[in-house]
Amino acid sequence: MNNKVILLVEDNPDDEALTLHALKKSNITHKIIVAHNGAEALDYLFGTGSYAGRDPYDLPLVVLLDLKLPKIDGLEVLRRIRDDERTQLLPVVLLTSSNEEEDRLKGYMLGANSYVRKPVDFDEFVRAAGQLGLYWILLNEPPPD
Amino acid sequence: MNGRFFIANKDRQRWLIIRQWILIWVLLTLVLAVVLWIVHKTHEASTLALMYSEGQQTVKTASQTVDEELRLLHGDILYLRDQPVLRDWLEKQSPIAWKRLGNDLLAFVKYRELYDQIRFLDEKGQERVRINWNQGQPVIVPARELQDRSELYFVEQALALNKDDIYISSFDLGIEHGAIEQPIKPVIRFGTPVFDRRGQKRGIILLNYRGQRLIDQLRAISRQSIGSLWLLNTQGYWLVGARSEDEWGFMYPDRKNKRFANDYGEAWRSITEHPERLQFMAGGDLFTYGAITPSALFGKVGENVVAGDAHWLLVAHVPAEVIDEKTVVQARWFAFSTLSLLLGAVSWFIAFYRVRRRQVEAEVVASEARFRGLLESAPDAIVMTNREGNIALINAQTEKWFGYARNELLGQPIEVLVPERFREHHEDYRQAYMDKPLVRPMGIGLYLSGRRKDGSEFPVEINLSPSKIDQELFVISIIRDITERKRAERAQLEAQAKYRELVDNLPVGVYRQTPTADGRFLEVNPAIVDMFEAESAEQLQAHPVGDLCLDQDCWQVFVDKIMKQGFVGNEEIQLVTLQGREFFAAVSAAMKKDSAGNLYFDGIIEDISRRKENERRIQQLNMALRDRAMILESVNHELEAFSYSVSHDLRAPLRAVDGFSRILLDEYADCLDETGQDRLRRVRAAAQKMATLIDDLLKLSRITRSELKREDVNLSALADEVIEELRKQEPERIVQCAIEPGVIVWGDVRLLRVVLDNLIGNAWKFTSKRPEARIEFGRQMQDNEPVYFVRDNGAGFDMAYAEKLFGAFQRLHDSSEFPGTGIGLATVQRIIHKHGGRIWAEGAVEQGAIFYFTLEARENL
Repeated sequence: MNNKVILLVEDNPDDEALTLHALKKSNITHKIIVAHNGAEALDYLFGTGSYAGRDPYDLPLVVLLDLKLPKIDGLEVLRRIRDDERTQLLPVVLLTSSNEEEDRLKGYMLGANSYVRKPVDFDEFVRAAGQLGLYWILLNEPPPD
Repeated sequence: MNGRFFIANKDRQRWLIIRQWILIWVLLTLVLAVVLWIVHKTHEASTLALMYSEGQQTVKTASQTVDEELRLLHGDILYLRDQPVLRDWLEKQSPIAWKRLGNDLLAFVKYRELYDQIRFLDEKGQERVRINWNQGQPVIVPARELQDRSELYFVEQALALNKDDIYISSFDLGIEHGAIEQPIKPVIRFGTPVFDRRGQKRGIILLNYRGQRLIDQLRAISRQSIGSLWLLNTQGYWLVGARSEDEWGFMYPDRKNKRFANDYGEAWRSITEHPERLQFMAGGDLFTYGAITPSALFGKVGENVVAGDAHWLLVAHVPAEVIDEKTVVQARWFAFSTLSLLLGAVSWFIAFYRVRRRQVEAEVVASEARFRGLLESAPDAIVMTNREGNIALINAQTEKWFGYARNELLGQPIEVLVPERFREHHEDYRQAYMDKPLVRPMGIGLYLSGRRKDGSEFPVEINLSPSKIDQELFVISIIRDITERKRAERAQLEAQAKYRELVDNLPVGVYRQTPTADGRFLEVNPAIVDMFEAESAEQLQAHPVGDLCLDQDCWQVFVDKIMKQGFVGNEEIQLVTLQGREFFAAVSAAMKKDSAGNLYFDGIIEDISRRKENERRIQQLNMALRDRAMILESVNHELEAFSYSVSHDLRAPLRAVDGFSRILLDEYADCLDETGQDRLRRVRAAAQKMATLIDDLLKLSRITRSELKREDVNLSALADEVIEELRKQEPERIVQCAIEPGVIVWGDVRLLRVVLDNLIGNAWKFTSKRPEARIEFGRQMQDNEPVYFVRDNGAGFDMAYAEKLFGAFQRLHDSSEFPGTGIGLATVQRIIHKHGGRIWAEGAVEQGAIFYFTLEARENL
């Protein structure tokens, strides 16, 4: 179980550092793979590009996906995940600064499992990351391989 | 009189005629019947009397004929009995005597022509001498052919007679060898016994009388009579009858029923029961009869007549048809019918003309009544005067208008109805009119007045017409009170003047023109004269209308359009004044037709140069506005993109600032003194406040952009929810809340929640320092409009800054005292404005505050 990874898709290095810190503070010890844009995230998931040769059936435990990404944005990444039968059941949590209703609606419509707004208050962020980790990583039973 | 009544009347008239006709006809027919009946009866009586006497005459003649004939026979037989030749033969019995007797008798038979046989039979019934008539060639039957006839009934009867007795047989038919001789030989046998000188009966002499002779004579009499004459024997069998097959019934076994009694029972009864009635009517037939009694014929002393038939009856019979014919019954019926029909026709004419005459009389009466009704109900006064000018007749209207009673005017000179000052002239005029009486109005062109009894006058119009009644000339004056008309004319003139003034004062040009492109103005008002900068209306009217247009074709099109549509409204045409100035005008015109059928246009012209200029400006402004709107739209798009970026991108650095400050405080606290840590905490607080500011700004912008989704919203329930949440956040606070229940409005529930969040949230916040905090929500009416309010008893505000309350980022309190971004009320105002409402506040420092707002009512949407 511990060999499963968490895929964090985040382009902002500050947010990446804070997210990793928050996860660590929440005692989540899983390996965290960080993709810095949408293309890289898809390469990882489907074993293409710089991740050529990676077994695409070896899915991460959960994907923490920021919406606003360079090149391919978060919603597009989500659509591609859901379009591919290998990844269509993969748990995806949208982790974003945006609180636009439209974004939230689109996200859920495309099959996001959760939508979490990154709070500015770091204490709250740590709390949110802790709850996320508790649910998706410790409690949630992933779909069968 | 309507059509139905007319038809009904016609039916009624027809019915009347028919009734009258039938009545008259029946009456006349009855009279005719009586007259004819009397004539008929008289005629019938005389005819019958004639027939009676004729019948009597016939029977009498017949009776005499029979009587004479039988007397002849009587004489003959006595002569033959007493002949010396017979006596001689009886004495001598010699053949010579027989021969002489035979020749004597032969001659007798031959020349007498009455007998078929003469025989002498001896006392034993043996024929001794017999002469046969033999169809006019009489022969003496030879002795050897003579027969013994003793068994014959008449021989027996004759032989039994005494001296001087005479036997007369029944009238029957001759029989030869036991059968009726053919052709029939009607016969009467006369016989008498012969005695010799010694008084010895020696036999009988027997004459066979040829009955046909008598029958022929009776038939001759019958032929001459009106009816027929019959001869009957005692039993009532016909000897002479109407038909030969009815005759001699007693001789033929198959004719036994051919009896008079069978055919004429009633008559037979009369004859047998009342033999004294010699003439009678039976079954409509006339019977006259007479009886011949052979035994009573020869009344000589000592003669005894033995007869085979008791009586022979002579019957004169006149059948009913003959009587009717003679009494011309049928002719009478025919005459009656014909005359009755004739009377029918006559009655029809009488009835028709009677009804017609009655109707005409009724019509005359009705017509008179109508005439009187017409006269009396005429709306005009009608006065008839005679040649001398005296009033002969007036109607009710005359009484009413002139104020006189009828009898006050009749016979008076017509001048009493004329005002005094005109009377003298009037008489002259009247005389002149009498010389030349025509139907014409009186006093053409003059103002005529009538004079009432009380001396007052009124304007009248009079029409005169002469009328000749019974050779006398009358003048009929029809007088009309024209007070009302005069008044109406005056009113019309006034109205016309008023309209004229109105048209003259109108600021738009009003005109009338001839209906062609090059037509002239017929009428213009002053405004149009000014508009075309003409010196006078005449100058303008002299100018062709078409020349006043900048574009002649355009004017032609306009004129064609009026001709086609009848009306053209607000056509914009460029015109030129007489001074050459161009201007825009709106022209409306309608096509009209005068009473003579001539076309013309009526129209108005309005100078719209200024309006056109304004329109041009408005158009320019509109163009500019459209440009601005487009710019605004693109700005809005940019703003949206900007908001999105703000929402996403501005928060990320803040998060970094706060996050890393926190990490510093957590993990590097020992490297920082207390002041350093405090500074870091301030960094974090500032970052978090900015995040709140950003969120509030975004909210404000979202409200600006979002569409309203209106529905019924229970504001009271929303307020309750807000209070509930506030109590949860700060359970330690004691706040008295009064929410008026059941306040329902029409609006967007999400946005109204934001309004109450802010207003009640503010009240909550600003009463935080009050030990007895109080918040109220409710509704009140102001100027017939519901106004909602949120009141608190909190910190309040200075009314001098009330204007600033609703500006973004405007705060009236220190954030250290009451935290906040200063965007809440700006958001509220925006929401209220979006709902078509207003918001305002009242308050005073430390006196609490009231926020009022209105919302557009549902009915106004």
